[in-house]
Amino acid sequence: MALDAGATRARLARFLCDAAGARAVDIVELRQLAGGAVQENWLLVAQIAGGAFAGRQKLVLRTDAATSLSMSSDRATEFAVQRLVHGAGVTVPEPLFLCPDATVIGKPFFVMRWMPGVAAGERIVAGEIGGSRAVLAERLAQELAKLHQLRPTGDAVGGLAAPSDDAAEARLAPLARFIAGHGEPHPVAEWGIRWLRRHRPPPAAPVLCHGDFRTGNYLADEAGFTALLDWDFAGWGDPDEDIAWFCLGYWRFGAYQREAGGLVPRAAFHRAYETASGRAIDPARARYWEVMAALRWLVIALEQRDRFLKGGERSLKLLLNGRRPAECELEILRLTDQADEAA
Amino acid sequence: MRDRPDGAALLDFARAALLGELAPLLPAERRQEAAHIARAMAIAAREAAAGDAPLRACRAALAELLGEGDLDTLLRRLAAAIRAGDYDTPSPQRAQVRRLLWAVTVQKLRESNPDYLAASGLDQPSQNGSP
Repeated sequence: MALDAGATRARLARFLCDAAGARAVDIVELRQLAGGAVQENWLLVAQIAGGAFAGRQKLVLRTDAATSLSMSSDRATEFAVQRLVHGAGVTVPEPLFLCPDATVIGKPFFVMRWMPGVAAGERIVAGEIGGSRAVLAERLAQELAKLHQLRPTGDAVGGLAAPSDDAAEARLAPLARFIAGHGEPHPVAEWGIRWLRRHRPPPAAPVLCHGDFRTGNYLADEAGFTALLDWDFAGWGDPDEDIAWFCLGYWRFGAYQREAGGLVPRAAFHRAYETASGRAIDPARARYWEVMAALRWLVIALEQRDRFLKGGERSLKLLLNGRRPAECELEILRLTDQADEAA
Repeated sequence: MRDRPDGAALLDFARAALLGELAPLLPAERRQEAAHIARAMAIAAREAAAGDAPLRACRAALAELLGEGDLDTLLRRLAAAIRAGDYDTPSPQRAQVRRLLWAVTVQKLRESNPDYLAASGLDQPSQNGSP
């Protein structure tokens, strides 16, 4: 549905008027922002008369894209998570209004404050934007440490799945099912799955995890970090999984030697996180979750490729991801070899 | 017969023109698409240059371990055996499987992403195919 069509725009203005407790709302600008394979983001500039939000407000409307992923949460849950982490002092766009029903624009959405910066990973990693990579990485480690202080006991969020007794098994089981049932042979993935099954670490106390913490999912401007985005994969889990996902080869955007998000070496990021969180990272656990991260991305790459090959979605980016599994396979072999040598 | 230039030369020049001349004229937010197109062309060019030799080598290595069969059959047999836990514990077979998996992975990356291989210090694999 086109959000900028006349009738939809008028319903959206009425919704904003009610939600903001305003006298009148005039939508000045409404256009879709780049990126977002799973969610759509729209820039929404509104002139608001009366109420707590009176004035010209620069906002972002977030809603489901045409293709939704099964692992991704609904907008109401994402809104609740973003409210929680914003309240806890994690730097995210402040979420303002949730519309859980589909009568306004045809699907649920929420509205948050616009934040400056770009998310383009290749530009941040190349140093075109975002300032010093070392400073950026340190700040990201601090944000992550703050997020990981949230616990299911005190910080329950409706809509989030209850924490699993064993985060590793909860992550691994669906990945293993996918590989076994894919209909094509993936021997290195199977090798990784066996290793992950046989080396499961003792479960950690669950904390709130971002679930897709990586370069490409935060905003940075000329001065540096501005906000953490994309909370639709958040859930209770093992904090080392977020740290490992950040170090996945694909999220280095070609800067393969800077393992942590293409910004700094892995050890530097670990140190920054340890300083911020006061928790020492066990290298064996971090490595375990890096094997899991490689397997998870391997499965996502196959799913994306299948959206083209089997689902008929015409996108070169999806198609190219069909050639990504080999990178994950290299990491699975290398990391499991390292671990076996260390044992 | 074919007239010159050959397909490899055409792809090579077309890719250089796309990246060197066309891409800089695109708005910043669309340059990544040109990079994707160039990447697809580079993979196709490397695959064409390699021909069937890597697949034949892979099949032969699998046959040595698992007996005769075509490549797909042997890969399925290997995947099923790994899933069943046949290579969980140290053994000469496990070492052989591990070397084979390394060799196949390195061969795939030579075509799909040689930069990744080089950054991993594996662009010159040793004779047994493992680092």
